[in-house]
Amino acid sequence: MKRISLLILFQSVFVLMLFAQNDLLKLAENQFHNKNYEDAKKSYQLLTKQFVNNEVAWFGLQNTYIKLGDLKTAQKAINIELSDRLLWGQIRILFYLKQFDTIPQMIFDLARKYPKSEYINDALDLGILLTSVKNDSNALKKYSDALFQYEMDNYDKAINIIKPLLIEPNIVAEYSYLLLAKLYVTKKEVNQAIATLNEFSVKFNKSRLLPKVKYEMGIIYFEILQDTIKAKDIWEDLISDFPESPQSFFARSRLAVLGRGQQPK
Amino acid sequence: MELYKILNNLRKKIVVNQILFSILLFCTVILFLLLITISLFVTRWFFLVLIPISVYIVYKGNFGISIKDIGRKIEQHFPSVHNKLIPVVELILEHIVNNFVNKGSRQKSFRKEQYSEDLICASIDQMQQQIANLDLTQIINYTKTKLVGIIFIILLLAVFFLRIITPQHFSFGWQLIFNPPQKLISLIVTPGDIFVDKDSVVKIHYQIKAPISSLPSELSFQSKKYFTKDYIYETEILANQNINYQIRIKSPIGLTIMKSPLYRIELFKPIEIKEIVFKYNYPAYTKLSTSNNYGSEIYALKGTKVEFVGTTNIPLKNALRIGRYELDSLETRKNEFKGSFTINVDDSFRFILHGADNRQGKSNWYRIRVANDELPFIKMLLPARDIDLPVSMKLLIGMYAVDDFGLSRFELKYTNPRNNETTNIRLKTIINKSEDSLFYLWDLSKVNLLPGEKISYYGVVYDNDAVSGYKSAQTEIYSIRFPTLAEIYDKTTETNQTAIDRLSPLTVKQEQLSNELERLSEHIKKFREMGWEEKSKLQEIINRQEELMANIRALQQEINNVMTDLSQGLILDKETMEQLEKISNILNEILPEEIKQNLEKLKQAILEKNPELSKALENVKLSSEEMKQALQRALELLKKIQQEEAISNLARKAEEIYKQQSQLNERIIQEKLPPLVVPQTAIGKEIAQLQEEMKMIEKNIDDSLIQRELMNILQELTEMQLQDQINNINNSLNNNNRQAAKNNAGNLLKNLQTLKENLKNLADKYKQKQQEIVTTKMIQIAGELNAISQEQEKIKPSQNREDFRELVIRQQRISESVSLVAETLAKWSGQSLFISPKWVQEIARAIINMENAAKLLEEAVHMNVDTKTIHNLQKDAIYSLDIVTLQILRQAMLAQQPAGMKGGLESLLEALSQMTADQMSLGQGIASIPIPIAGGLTAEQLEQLNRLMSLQSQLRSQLEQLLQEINSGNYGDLPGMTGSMQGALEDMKGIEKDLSELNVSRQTIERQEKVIERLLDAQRSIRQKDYSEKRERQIGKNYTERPTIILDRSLGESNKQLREELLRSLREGYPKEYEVMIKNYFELIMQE
Repeated sequence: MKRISLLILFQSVFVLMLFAQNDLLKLAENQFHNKNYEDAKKSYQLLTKQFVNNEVAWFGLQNTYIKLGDLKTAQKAINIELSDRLLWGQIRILFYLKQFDTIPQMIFDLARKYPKSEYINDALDLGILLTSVKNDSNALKKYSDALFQYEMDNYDKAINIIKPLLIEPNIVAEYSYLLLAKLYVTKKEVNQAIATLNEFSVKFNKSRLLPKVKYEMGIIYFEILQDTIKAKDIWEDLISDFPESPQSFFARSRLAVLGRGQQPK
Repeated sequence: MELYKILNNLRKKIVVNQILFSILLFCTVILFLLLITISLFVTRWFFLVLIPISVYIVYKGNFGISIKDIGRKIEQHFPSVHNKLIPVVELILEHIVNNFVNKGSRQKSFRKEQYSEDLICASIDQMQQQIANLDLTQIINYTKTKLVGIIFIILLLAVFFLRIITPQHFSFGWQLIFNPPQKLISLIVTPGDIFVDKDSVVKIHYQIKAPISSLPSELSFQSKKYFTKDYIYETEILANQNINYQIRIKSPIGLTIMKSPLYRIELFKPIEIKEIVFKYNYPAYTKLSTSNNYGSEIYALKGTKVEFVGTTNIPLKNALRIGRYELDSLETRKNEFKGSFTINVDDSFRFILHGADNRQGKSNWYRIRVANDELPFIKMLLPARDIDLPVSMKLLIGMYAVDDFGLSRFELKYTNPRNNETTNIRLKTIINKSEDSLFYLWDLSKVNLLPGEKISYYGVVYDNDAVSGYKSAQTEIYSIRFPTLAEIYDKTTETNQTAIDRLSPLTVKQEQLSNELERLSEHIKKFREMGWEEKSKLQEIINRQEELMANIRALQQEINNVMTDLSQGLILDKETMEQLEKISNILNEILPEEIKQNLEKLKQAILEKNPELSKALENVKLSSEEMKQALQRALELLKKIQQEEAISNLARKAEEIYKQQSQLNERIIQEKLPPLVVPQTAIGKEIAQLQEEMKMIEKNIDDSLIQRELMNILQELTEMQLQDQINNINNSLNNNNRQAAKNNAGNLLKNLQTLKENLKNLADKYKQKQQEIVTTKMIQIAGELNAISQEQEKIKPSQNREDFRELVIRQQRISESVSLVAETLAKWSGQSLFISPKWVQEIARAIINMENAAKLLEEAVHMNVDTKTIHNLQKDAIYSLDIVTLQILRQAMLAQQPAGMKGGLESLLEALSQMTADQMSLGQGIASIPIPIAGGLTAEQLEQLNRLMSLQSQLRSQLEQLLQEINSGNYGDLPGMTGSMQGALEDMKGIEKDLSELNVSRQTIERQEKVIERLLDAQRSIRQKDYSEKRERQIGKNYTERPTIILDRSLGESNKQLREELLRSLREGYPKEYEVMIKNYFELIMQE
């Protein structure tokens, strides 16, 4: 009887703790979404202290530190085996800390440990960027700063950092244009974003990123501005100018869907 | 009884007539025979005819004719008394008989018929009267008697006539009747009966002496007949067998008058050798036991003593053996003869035998043939190919030799390139062995080879034939070369070209195989079974495929051998090794991993009539197709590398020429000038050669930019007029004008520096450009794949079935885009070794998954399909795309590293290699200083010594620095490395001390050699470490414990036999393409 009583007691405590954990997690997430990063940090710290194996809490804590700009702490804080998103977080932190040399290995680790992770594409994108801009580390550092500001929601600061990068005709400039467009979209300045992408098209008319830019432009027209005709025009141009690019195929599928009279979503 | 008297008288007359006739007839016959016999020389035995004639005459003579017979004749002749006279005659006779009987005994007369006396008398009287009127003489035939009488008279006249006309003839004929012919005729025949040798010619002569002339004669023997009318006749007969002959003396009409006895020409019965035994006593060195021969051909080794014993059919008096070169008197005893001789040359002989009865005989010819002691056979096992001088200066030589009767020694011969003298090294003395192998570590340091020089060497083995002289055989001639850097540079070009030349036809063959497999596969699909013909065809294709694979493996092995040789070579050129490694990697990627397995499965399926045959065939087809593509890619890559290498080699050769000129310039300052014309001219030739190569590359290169730049460099080179400068230098050198030579050489060096830098820049630019093109393309492909992957992420199937139509389209388009990227990747995989063909395979998997996902999505529009399956397919596709992107990124990053794939160890190796080269050059300088330094040094020598000392000092400090870096762990863990380097450092210090104290002795030179040796040791250790790291790093894995193997007791022996067999087969020759495989096999055996 005593044993049964003890068992019931333990179970009750466990259930209570579970509820407490979930509540605390919800609280932290709310704080994070409300950009109350300091409080969120405390909540996540409490959670990670109480529930050491709670990966969600660690992920939240990592993101909170990034949002707070405390990259060094973010890099060292994780005391759990890295999940794919935690690993991706670490890669991002390394990028923001400008430790570019160590990133490729981390990307390879991510791919090896979590071959079907949804973060691989982002990591690979970063890898491609690093490989592309090998000789221009200063520009890359600034680009890294801009991206970091973007992640910290300091869009204007990011735009300010990025604008000087657009001048030089190099690969960082190309990536910077894309980031700038993304910043404008985030800031809901869609026309600015389109103008940025148009400028890219003119300036880097031989860039390998051009099909991507065109496709993205079409997406903005189609999905944000809901300008089907414009989107169609751009995609048709894309198909005609870069018939062998993957984006031309994506555009074809989009056009085919448009042809069926489906509405944009 | 008057009638009786009449009749009786008549009877008497008849008898007389008959007797007369008979006598006349008999005489006539005699006369006739006489006439015939005398005239025709018929044998007297002809008269025997008279006997039957006489008998006949007597028999038919009818001398005892009775009264009754006469009565009958009368009756026949006279019809009037027909049937009347006889009864009367009978009655008369009866009456006469009765009277005769009764006269003595008074008895009553016997009457046959009981006629009365009167009646009888009456009838007699009546008859008597009738007869009295008849002319009874008519019944007597006198005509025949007269006729015979006439004939008799005619014959008698004829005989007389003959006697008168030819009295000699008549006389001879007459005498011949009463005498045997031998009494009258004399026949002298020679030789009469005779013994002759077979095939000898016998002269037959005979003479006839007779009372009359012209008696023909006939000589007959065997079936032949010779006819002559001469009294003397002579002829010759070939006595090839026993012959009977006879002479016949003939009458004119050809009847034999006389014949000689039957003479015989008999052949000598030869003295027969009934048995002869030749006993071979072989030379001692063969160790063969004696053997007997009973034939007429004596075939044995030179030096073999042959003893013989023969027996004949008759006792012998003496015997000889007569040959072309020898004559022996033999020992005889009764029917036996014996002797001996020694075989030296090919000969033939016969025995001449004298019988105890003086008969002589010759035997058949006996032939002596000298059997050859075969030449020994020798095979070089190691290294059995031309090699470069090994780093250790030591070469392991392996040889194997075999002889029919035994070996005596192994030797190694080599030719010194400088004086073309052949040096002989006696390696091993062999006793009592007909097969032996030898391994010898040859210390080449004593050969003193210089760069660019080559020694030729070969192994020699001698047999143990002391009788005819030791025969030898030698291996193929191989060479050891101390390669120049230019030659090492050319090694990659050569290897690359070899690979291209060998792969090109294989590519065509592989394509044919793929096509044939395709046709067979179609056939099976169509008819759903395979006939005998198809199976045979398939088997043939499998064999051809395996052969093709073997060819590729052999090529791989050859390139690996080149790499091994280079890695063991005295000079290691890092870039060359890298290029060769590239080629090796290309070749290693040709054979698909699973092709061998698939071929085995297919073979099994054919044998077992497996229903899986179709599947197995399909797998082989896929592998074959894969191999075809791999071959094409390899060819493209090799061509690409060839071009890259060609430009790179130009730069390296220019660098080498510059170095040579630089060294020569120093020598111009210090040494006597005229001898320097030779190296200067050699440099001139190298420059001209380089220029030619540049022109050729300029024509063939497909990169227009590089082509233009190369053209400019060529233009500049022409303007430099280097050959004129070289001529000027040579003139100055010949004129001993040091200042002018120095100035001209200085100008030339500057120009060469410009050339070297230009070419280096060009090579770097070309390499960089090529690398950039590939890297950019790789990054672009990675970007595209990642974009596709991201797009793929976006089309996860949702719960809303309406969305599926859109997803189908998007999925299809994504799949198409991936196909396009795969095509690009496949195309580029032929451009760079970095782009692996395996990526294309992975992408192909992604495409299949995407297509399947699209199909399921299409089905999902109309029916219930598990969206999880679709999602998994999409996930797998994404995974494949990501993997490839990742691989591409990894390669791109590696390619972007500043030193390529060069690690720390390689830079250390490079430093050591350079240091070794410098130390060697320093060693050459030291060697030029006379030892001992008697009477002091000249100013020039002193200057040279100072320069060497300074160089040694620099090298020492470099080594010290390197040691410091090693000790601080800059190059990782290098156990044992510091030991050899520390030793080198100490020796360097010693050299420095010797040089500073002007104490250049043998010890200094030995120290110098030791330094090089230690530095080379250090390099070798690094290479081995590097090599083992590259090749031996493996992840540990579980393994199953192997069962204990109990070896067959005869395994060693059977291996030996196997090896002998193999060597013998090698001796008989083998196709060239198998040589590598055979050598490898041997090396393996030796290692085991």
